[in-house]
Amino acid sequence: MSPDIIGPFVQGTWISVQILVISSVGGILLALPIALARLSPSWPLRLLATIWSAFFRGTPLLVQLFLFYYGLRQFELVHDSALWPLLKEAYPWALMAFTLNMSAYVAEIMRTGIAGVPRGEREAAESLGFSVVQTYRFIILPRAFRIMLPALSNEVILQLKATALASAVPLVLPDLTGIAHRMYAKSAATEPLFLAGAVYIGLTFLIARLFALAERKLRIPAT
Amino acid sequence: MRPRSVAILVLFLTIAAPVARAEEKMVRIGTEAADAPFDYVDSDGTLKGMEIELATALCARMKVECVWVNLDFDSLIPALQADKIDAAMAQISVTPDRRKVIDYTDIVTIDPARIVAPVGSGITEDLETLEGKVIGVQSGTTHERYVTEKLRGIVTPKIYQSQEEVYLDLEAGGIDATLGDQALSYDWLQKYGRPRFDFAGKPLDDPEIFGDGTAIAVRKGNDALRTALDKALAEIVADGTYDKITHAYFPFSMRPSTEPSGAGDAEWPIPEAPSAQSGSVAQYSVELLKGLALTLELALATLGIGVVLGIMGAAAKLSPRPWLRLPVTLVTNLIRGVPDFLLILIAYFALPQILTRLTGTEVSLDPFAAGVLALSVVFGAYASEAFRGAFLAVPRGHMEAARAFGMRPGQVFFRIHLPQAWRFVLPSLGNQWQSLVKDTALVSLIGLQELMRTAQIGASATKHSFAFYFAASLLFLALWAVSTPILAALETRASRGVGRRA
Repeated sequence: MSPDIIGPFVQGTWISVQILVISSVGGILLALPIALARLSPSWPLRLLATIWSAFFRGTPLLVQLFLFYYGLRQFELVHDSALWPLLKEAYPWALMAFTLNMSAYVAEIMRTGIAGVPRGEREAAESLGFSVVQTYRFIILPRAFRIMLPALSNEVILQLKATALASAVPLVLPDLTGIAHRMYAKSAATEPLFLAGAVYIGLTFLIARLFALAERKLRIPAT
Repeated sequence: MRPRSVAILVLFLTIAAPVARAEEKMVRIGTEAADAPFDYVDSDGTLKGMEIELATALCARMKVECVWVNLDFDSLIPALQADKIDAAMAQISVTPDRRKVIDYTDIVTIDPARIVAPVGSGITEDLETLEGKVIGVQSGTTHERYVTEKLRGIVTPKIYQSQEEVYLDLEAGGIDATLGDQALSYDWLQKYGRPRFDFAGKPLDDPEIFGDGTAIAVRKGNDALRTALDKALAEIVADGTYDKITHAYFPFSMRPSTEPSGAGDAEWPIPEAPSAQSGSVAQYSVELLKGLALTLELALATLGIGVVLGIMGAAAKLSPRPWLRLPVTLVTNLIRGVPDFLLILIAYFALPQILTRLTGTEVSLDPFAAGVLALSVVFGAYASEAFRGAFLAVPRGHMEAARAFGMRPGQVFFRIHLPQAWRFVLPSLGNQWQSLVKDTALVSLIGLQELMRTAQIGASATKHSFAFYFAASLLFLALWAVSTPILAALETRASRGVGRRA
């Protein structure tokens, strides 16, 4: 394979991985407050979290990308802001859409994970005099994280494949699928498409492997 | 003249070499009916467009019956090769590379490139006026080549996946101008862009880059059909039918002639607005609802099969027998890694032929069955992982207790293990369901007109892209709103007997 194919491919894979990692980490961090809001006794918080979840899970990611890039970007507030040189480009909007979308899905998994922690453990923590924060920090969240790992690995792999949509907005440096599309369009040779498919499979196995390792590491023998 | 990629997934499809067909009176023509004004579905559900009319005229000349097969652009060449269609007509541009895998008729249309910019921008085809401007082009087109090669260092190119998106960003102020097909831009200007935007300067003339036009694609070696089409094309050009059809859409000539282009402009009046011009989301409401119904049917069928596959997969993955566990784990990981569109194309194009060869009897899969099959396999692969986690989450003591009571393994599974696992798996399945509803959009690749596809068709026909995407998202939200309480009720039911105070 010639180097003029390899170069862009490495570049495209790097962009895809970048989007995946940033949006997954950002999404997981954002998901925690959303999951807690969904489980909160306060109804305005619950309502807000439900609307968030409804919008990001209920509409196609492609539409969200479009609404962010072509829609929100038009507002004068955005045009006049100091961040405009940055926000003029598509990349930050793509990252934003992917991150927020991920946060809604992960929040849902987290909610279940938290609810899946046996009640006795929470009560034990309370009776030992743990504060609410301590209970979550030391008891509930570590346990919940273990419960949600398999579902989370699914979500991250889905997110990897979703990043293929990134080139729906005009990225200056396109992602893996975007690169493969462009090469195919130029030469009509099918190799770039299959090579891209192989890279996605490879990345999927890598992610599955990492999560399997994490699962083994976090296994709690008691249950 | 869209390039749109992916088309030739032939590597898979050549496994299934086309069977020679007997001479037939019926010709199946594939198109992508989301490309107004060339090919599109009107708000009453019928196929319309300049190419549709041209092909109808050609078929009348050839005295054959023509049936339309509405596919995604990317699937047209694979469909030709898998003998699902006999010809493809969708503004397919003639390129030397494509000629290696398909045959072309004579050139059917020529569509020069032309710049579109905001009125009063001062931009023309003159290089000085373009200095430092940001020009939007569609990826893979001759326009992209022109901007990146001929205008290198003069303008900043910005590359989009479709021309519709270039227009969207032109409107949003993200680019200064676009270089695109004159005819496509004309349609956008007529329906949407004027009076804020207009053509800037004359059509560009650079035969080295813009030399080719579009033609009808036929299967390699199908010379009988190709020559018949060429003959019919020459006839409708000669008797004026061709001009009559194209000038109902455009005031300029689309004909590949030796005369200088634009020579006949004055003779032809600005055409009447096509019916879709005043089109709106409301006009397409019946079509959108039909799309919604198809989306729901696909998703429900996939859910049923996918859940069963998921439980079986999880059971295999948790099995102590390595010969069961390892292959299933490998296959589910593989399926999770393969892009879904590949599986859909394999299920539709390659699988029936493979099965036919293996079984010796004719096997055919309609697009719906192939789509459900591919989506179910994907759904099952993901669900197996969720079910595995859920099965592990049920305290082992429960199963031990059941066994101690003398229950058989089947009883332990169906009465103790599975009902409790539901509690853990339902939220994850709920997530998957919500994704599935949207993923059904992928089956538009093999010609199923579900909700997202219908929205794209409407967007293309009316050029009101935003309104259609917004309408589609509202309908998807409606599905979400209906699913959510059902899922919540199922979750409540699955959690009965577990303390409420979480």
